[in-house]
Amino acid sequence: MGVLPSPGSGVLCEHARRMDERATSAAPTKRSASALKVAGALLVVYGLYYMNREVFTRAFASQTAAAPDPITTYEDRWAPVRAGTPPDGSYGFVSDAGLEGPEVVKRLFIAEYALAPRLLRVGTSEPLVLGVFEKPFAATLRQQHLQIVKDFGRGVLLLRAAP
Amino acid sequence: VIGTVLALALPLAIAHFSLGAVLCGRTRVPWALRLGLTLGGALGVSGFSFLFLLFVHGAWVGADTLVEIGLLAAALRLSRSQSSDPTRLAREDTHAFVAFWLAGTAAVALAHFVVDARLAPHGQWDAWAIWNMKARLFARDPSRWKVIFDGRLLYAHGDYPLLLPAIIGRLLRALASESAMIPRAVALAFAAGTALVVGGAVAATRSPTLGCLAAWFVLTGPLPDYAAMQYADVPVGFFFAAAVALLLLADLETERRRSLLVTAGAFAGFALLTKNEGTLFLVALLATRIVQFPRPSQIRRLATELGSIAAGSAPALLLSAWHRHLGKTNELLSAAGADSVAGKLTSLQRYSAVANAFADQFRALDGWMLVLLGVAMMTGSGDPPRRSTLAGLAVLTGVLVTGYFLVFIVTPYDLVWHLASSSDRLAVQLQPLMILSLFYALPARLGEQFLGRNTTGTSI
Repeated sequence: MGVLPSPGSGVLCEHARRMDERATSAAPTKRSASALKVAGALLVVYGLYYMNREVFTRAFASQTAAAPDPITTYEDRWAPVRAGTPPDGSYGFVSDAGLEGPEVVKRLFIAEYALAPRLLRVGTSEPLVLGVFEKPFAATLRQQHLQIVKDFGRGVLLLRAAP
Repeated sequence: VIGTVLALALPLAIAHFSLGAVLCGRTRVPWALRLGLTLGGALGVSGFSFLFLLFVHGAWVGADTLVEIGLLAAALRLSRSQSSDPTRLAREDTHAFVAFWLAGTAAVALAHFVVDARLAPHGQWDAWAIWNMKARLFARDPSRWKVIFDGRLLYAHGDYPLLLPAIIGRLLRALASESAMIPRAVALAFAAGTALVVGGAVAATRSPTLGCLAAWFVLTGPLPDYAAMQYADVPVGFFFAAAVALLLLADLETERRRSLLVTAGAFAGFALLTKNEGTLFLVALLATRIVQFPRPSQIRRLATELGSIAAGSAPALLLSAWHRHLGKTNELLSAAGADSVAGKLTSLQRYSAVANAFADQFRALDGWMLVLLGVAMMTGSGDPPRRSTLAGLAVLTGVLVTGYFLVFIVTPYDLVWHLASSSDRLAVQLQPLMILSLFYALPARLGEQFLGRNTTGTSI
């Protein structure tokens, strides 16, 4: 007991004052430590975001994409042709993208993907021709001397040479 | 329903039991390696049996299942005759922090794949126009599969190996669905299998902590991107890494060495049936044995090793030769005339262009590999058997890179276009096996030296 100041003594008052001082000076230290922890956690979260920001950007793009990808769209358009033509056929291929260039190549390959194992060849050399059009097609058909055998809708046609 | 279940379960059971019989040696094989090999092995077996039946009968539906029942019986018999090596090494724990960090990275890589696959559900150009188109063709009308050799089917590349379309085609047929989810699931399985095999092989041969770090490098590379594109470079990269992983295990074994080498040969065979680059890989794999047993006194040993790998890859070699017989020869080789090849081989400009493109790939993808290589060189290569395995790995990588380099030198296509369209994909094929090789070169205790000892009982 000898080391502890007795109640009411001046020493006790001094001890209490020092304790108070320590308490008031410790409060900001504790607060700043907590703030540092929060800032550190925020930095970790931001760092993880920053490292993977491309994923978030693309995730946002996939959520806000206005339309399905072109392969899915084209594939849907070819679905009635698959149901309405024999699988072992060989067909010509025309479109309003012309007979050459990357756009017609892409449309042809998507048609091959959708219609395999049917064989497709750009042009009108085969007796039956498949056509895919984005714009009104009457003029193109006249120009290429083709007539409609079956209209599958959405610009997809089965054609043959006009007599 | 029974057909669907059998088509999914039989290849898995064959891979599980046959690998179980092979991976029971002295080296304790982590679950990650076992799972990765089983997953990829099952897909390889499934595609192989479907392809075999296509080649033999055109469209003998259900016969692939019969073949697999036969293979399963053989795998079960093999499995029963084997038991674990009594001197098997104890299991080690993984550093907890590294394991958690890897789990987080795997989640981000998965999100990366899912998001990209959502934007392009059919994959990128080559995926839908070549691989998935053929898969649909096989599934819709197997009797007409030879249409791929018809010149009118543009961009079909009849000379390209057919394992990937066969894997997907068989699943499309078994599930009676043409959902774009099926090829996506196959791509995901190969990507996940690659990380599991590389991480698991490093864990088995070095330490579990280094295994986690190796898997982390695989997942933070281009793998999730290219898996979402559904390109065949991810499966072929998986088969490369799987064959090398089995080779590393074989070099640590004495009793089960031959069966491990046969299995490595089988995975190299799957690579051969996935992409033309697989042929070069098989040559490179055989070259590793020549490096390990170079002396005339070791000729019998060398013959046994080469014979084991050749035996494993023989079914794939036969199927590949059959493909060449049925269809066209390799486009790159047939289009390149002797005069033109000689001219290209002596053109310094072409060497410079290809070297620059390769350096770009290395800088873009694998700059950190130099750091690992430097650490490996500083720490030394260890005992003579390990030094010899490392020399083999260096030769393997060297043969592959040189082969790819020469293909670009003599390509009949426009060099700038060819480099721009495919040099990145060659890097994707090589990266997993390069990570595996580099981590194998590191000291086993390197992870623990940097990170301290593990405090939890996590294991991979």
